[in-house]
Amino acid sequence: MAPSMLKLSRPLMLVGHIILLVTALSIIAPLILVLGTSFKPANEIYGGLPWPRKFTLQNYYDVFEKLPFGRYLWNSLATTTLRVGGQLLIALFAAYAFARYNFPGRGLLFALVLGAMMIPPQLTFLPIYLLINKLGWFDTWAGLIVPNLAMPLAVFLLRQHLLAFPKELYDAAAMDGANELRILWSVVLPNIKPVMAALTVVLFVDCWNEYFWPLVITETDHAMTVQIGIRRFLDAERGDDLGPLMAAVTLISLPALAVFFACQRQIIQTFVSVGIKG
Amino acid sequence: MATIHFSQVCKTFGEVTAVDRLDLTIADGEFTVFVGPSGCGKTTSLRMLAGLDEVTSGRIFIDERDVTHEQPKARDMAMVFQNYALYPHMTVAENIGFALKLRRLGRAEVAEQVSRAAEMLDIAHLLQRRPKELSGGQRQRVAVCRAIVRNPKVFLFDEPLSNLDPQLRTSARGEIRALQRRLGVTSVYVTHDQIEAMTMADRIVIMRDGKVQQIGTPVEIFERPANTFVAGFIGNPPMNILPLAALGKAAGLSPQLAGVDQSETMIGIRPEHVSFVSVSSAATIARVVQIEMIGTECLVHAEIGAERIIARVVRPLAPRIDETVGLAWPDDEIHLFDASSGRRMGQNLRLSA
Amino acid sequence: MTQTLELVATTRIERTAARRKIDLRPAVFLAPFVVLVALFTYWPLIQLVYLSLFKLNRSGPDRFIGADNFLGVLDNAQFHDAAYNSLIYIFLSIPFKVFLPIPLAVFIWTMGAKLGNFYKAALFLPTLLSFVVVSIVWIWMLNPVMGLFQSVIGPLGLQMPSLLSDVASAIYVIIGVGAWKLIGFNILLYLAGLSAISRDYVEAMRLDGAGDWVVLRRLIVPLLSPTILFVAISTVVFTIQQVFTPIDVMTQGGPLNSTTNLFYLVYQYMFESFNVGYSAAGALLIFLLLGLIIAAKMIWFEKLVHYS
Ligand SMILES: Nc1ncnc2c1ncn2[C@@H]1O[C@H](COP(=O)(O)OP(=O)(O)OP(=O)(O)O)[C@@H](O)[C@H]1O
Ligand SMILES: [Mg+2]
Repeated sequence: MAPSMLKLSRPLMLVGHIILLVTALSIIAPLILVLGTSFKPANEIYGGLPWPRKFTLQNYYDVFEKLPFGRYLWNSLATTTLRVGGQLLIALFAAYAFARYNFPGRGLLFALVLGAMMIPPQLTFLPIYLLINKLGWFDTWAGLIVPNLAMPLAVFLLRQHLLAFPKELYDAAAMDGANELRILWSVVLPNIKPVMAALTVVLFVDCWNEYFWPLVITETDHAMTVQIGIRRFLDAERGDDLGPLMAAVTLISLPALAVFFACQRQIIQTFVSVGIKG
Repeated sequence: MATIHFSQVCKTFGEVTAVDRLDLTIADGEFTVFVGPSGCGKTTSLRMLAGLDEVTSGRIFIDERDVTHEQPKARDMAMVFQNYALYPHMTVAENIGFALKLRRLGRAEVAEQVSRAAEMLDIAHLLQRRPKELSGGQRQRVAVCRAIVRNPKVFLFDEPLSNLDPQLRTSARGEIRALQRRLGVTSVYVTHDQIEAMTMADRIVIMRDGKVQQIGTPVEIFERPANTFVAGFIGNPPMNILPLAALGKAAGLSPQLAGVDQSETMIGIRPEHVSFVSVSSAATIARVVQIEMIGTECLVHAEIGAERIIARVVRPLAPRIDETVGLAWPDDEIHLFDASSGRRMGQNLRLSA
Repeated sequence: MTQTLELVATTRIERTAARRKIDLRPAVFLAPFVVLVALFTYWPLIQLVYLSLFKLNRSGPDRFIGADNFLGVLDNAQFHDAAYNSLIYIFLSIPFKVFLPIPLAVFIWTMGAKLGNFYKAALFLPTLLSFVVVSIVWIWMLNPVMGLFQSVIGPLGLQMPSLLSDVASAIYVIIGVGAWKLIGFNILLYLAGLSAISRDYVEAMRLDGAGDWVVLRRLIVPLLSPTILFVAISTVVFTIQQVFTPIDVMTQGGPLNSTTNLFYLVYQYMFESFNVGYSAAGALLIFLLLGLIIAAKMIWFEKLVHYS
């Protein structure tokens, strides 16, 4: 963080601390409560204490007992991994073409990329839904993955980084006898590892947390992801499901939070810079 | 080892003609230098030869084989880039061995060839470093090493020394040339530095605005510049080029110049051939306006009417500023050029005398 | 002789040019992306126009019905509710999500790195949580029978009102939840903007005897205004789109359509009323509206933004 640049007067500073503390607490407290509740036995759930007196994993067993939560997790994990992998690869190819080659129509094509960034996918879900049905991909992994493989934001970001890449290195590699894929894999990729890593995290969290598209395109356990599956605990609306619900909430929030606590600084940085460019 | 042949090669970028009908044959083992001012198309020519840029028209042959549309990989050439273009994420050894690895050579064999090439360039102790941990001179050696390790048919150099300091440049010049002689590999070398061109080349190609001005050995180019551009480009300081008419009666006196249309002719005299004589015996009179010391010699700038001429003389012979002096030069060191086209006229006067 | 040579040279040049290969490499690298974007972004847009203008017919050719769907949607009471709610969502999100974070960001900016980083981390957490999770947690906390707030105020003899099933309050709950999720991220965006402000300006102003308030008003806010514009636009876009999830999880548009918005309505037209034409027409109307909002905001902020 930059060194302090503005010295506020003491009373003002105090007000600031109080407001921030309250805000931070309003965020952290519910999360701690969720975590605590997920470890509580059924008879403690409605007690006032934030933390269990008797620690139990029963709620976590129940999550998998009462619903095919393992299947949801597997669907989420597999489709997210495949989708993010595909997004990165396709975006890298496109960004490479934009940054490396001068071809007729490049400007127009790039304008279309920028334009695609402006079109909310929630506006176009209807024709896509009809198309996916026609293809027989309703309620399948393919239906979840394929319509989302092209990621204009990723192309935009990677292109910017590749434009700063020294062009002579492409030529040197070509002279060394590397073909285009080899140049991309052995020369370009190792030099943009940090961006790729950052982008991977952002895309992963984005996809893992996605709600709208899985809601539209999945129906059964066959393809349902955790974000949709968890609603089943809610629909039940029976009191004794609160424990498993909180356990499920904890489970599905864990991957993103784990990455976050592993490398906090970079993650914040990454999200902010992607947010700013997006 | 290879011969290279450019046939009517052109390259245009939109409106700009970067290379205009280049015709050139380079013999096996020859060291050819492309020289010319910035933007004259040297790099473009080299890149077309390498296969990095597509020609707009014309053909390129290597060993009689038409390679005009072949990929760089198929041409078996190695290139040293101006900024060296070392892969930043690889060690020196990996940089040098990359091409060999791509040819699917075994690990041991790659290591052996890399260390042999590294020995040759005296960089064996740097093999485990990364490019950013090297000095400019070391990087340059690594870049050369990466080129020779593959044992290619042709070496291409694009201003490989321009990022070095002057002393290093002088020694590197000699080393590259010695290495090339030893390996006997046909080489094309691009520079904008005429001294590099003169000292290194078997043959020089002088270009301007995409057009070849003259092709010849350093001696030919120095002694018989094909036009005023070449005459002014080669030599330091450059050749004095004046309208013949400006020399006044001196022109009429010289027997070689009889019969030349004075108003249509430029005369060229190298500064080192200008000497000072007493005013009374001189055909040409000038006034000294400036003197630059450059060591044992100095450059004397003098004005003949509105024209300026530079003489290069040893210090004791230099006149003083504002002095009026007589100028003289050997008749057989005079070059004549057509005033409108700039082209060299007739034979060298030395031969016609 | 020379002429013949030149002729030969020209024909050769022409032949070479004709035989020159077009470089297909960029096309190959771009193909997957371009095909996917065309198929799943631009083609659907065209398709929407078609779906809104034609009545689909399984057993014959589709029937052109002109602007019927648009007129129908515009005349639909649900659509009026949704449009009205969308405006509330947008206008209330400006003070909470766009302006409130500014002073918070400035406070963090003036703090030492250690405390600042703690706050940043805490505020960032909701960005990583899915909106489903956030909605579920809030449903639980607000539950009038077994919720967190009830368990706190219950012992005092108070009863938590059922905020989510009350027409008067439900939409504000959803706005609050949205703010809870987004505030931290917007603070971080502002911090990124603040870090670009040179300390020289601040010091120079201090030397002129300016107090906190003056520095804030006269220096920081003007220099930050491009960031404010950016945050405002992205927040509006985010609000319009992403609020879908809390609506669907917490209220499903109810009670009595009091929380539905345009995006949600378009979804309901399709999956609850099974009215493809209305859904398509609604989507296109939103598209139009979105463009207008962004254009209007740009123009409005253009006057306020100082590019120094
Ligand atoms: N990729 C390109 N696009 C457009 N014009 C180009 C391109 N590359 C070169 N040119 C133009 O072609 C001409 C020749 O360029 P080239 O790089 O061959 O010059 P050069 O002789 O190598 O000069 P320097 O000594 O400055 O390196 C210049 O006018 C240059 O502007
Ligand atoms: Mg060059």
